[in-house]
Amino acid sequence: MTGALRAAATGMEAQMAQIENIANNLANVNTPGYKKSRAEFQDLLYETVREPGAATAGDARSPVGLQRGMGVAVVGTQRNFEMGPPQVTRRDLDFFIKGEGFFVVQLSSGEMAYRRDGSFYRGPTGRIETIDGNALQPEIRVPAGASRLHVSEDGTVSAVVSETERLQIGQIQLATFANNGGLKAIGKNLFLSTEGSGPPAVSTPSQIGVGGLLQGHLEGSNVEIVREMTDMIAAQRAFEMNSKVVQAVDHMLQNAAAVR
Amino acid sequence: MSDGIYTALSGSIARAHEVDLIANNLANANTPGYKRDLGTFQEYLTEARRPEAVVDPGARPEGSQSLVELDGIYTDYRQGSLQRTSRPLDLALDGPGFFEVSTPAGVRYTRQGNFTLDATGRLVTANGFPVVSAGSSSEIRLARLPMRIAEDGNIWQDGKAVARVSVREFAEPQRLEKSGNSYYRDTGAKPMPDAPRTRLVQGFIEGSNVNPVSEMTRLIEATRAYESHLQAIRTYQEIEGRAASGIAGIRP
Repeated sequence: MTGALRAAATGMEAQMAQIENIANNLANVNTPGYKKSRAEFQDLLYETVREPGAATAGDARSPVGLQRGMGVAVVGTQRNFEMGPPQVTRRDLDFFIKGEGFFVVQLSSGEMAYRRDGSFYRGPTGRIETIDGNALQPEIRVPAGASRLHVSEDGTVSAVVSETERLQIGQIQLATFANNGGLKAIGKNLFLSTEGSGPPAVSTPSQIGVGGLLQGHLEGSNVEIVREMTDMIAAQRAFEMNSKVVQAVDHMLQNAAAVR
Repeated sequence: MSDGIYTALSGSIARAHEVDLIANNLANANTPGYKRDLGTFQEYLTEARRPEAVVDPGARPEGSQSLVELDGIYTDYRQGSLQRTSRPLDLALDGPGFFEVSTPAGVRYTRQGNFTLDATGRLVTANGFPVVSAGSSSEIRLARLPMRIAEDGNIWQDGKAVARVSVREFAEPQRLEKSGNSYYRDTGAKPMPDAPRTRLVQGFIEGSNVNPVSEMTRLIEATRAYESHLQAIRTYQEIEGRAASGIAGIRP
């Protein structure tokens, strides 16, 4: 019965992890470029008392084995990189990636980080950067007199310097990874590449698999509220049922102790 | 001491084992692809003390003791419900088949299809073990997403079938042994070459087939049965106590 207690405890722990995960998804339901994550469960080890097909008597074989499970484990969280819906903003430095690519920005430490959130700003020196001042890579500087920026689907950035004149000032590049799920989220809508994700492959937007750019749009969060709510109900009920098992075992042990 | 107390004891032990099973099922109520376990109980008769006393050949010899024990656990492979995730690498099996996974300890089978690509583009499980391709028993390498996976397991990319996910059905699925991490080990389950009864569904995950209502009902039943076995033990104890104090005049 202590096995039941432990199994129920792992069940409560796993459902708790699920609730925490859902809470984070729901908190980011309006975060541009946010990718929902999911807790992954697997059953734990089994204690094999008897293997299936073990001999019982003579030639007879037991059709079933005797294995006792020990509960559940959270093996990890998986991020779903499914595209979020485009939202019209009409800002010239808001971009939506119609594909798998990531923007590349340089952190203050010099390290490269990757993001799906396509909201950028003109920095004090005219450099295109994130709201935190991390520069978009490769660096693009907007000339002082430029009024508007035009970014084509393939990432070519041109500035409108006068009524008739447009000046090409740079090229946005996007990174792709063999395994998006292996990227490490570091907050502020940024990801770092890891051994699990593989090294970034940087290429021009609108190539196959990378995705073109859409100016004046932002990518919404891909969290589906209804789905999160139903998952939350399921997790909460499963938590309750596991706590009922703890209560039942407690009751049984009390009874056993009362025999004498 | 009366033999009956051991019968009641065996019953309470068997019920306690059953509660362990139910606890594991409920702990995995939200584990994708989990299949619930059920216990089978059997009666065990001790050797008759006086076999010559048997008159009716169909009757149990008098004095033999009946014990109950948890004899085996079988897995209920009923289909779990399919849940839409729309992740291209979430694969659900509709039918009796299993995915084939290559682990350092040998081939394992699983119903949990929440796959990913690893850093080298291999199709792997949540633990990072490669999913086996049909026919060649090698790993599946995909250059990139997106791709379409058909019902027969063929992976389509740019109009070409680039690989096929191996799905196996078994002649004797009860011979599969759960080895943890949602994997099954083959202990004579006789894999069949093809999986004609299984469909592969992309963008879905198979839920656990644990029905919480029936598990909770079984939990109540098992705990109540356990209590009545304990009550029987208590009653035997009282009888013995009375016999000692009432007949021999000894006060306990």
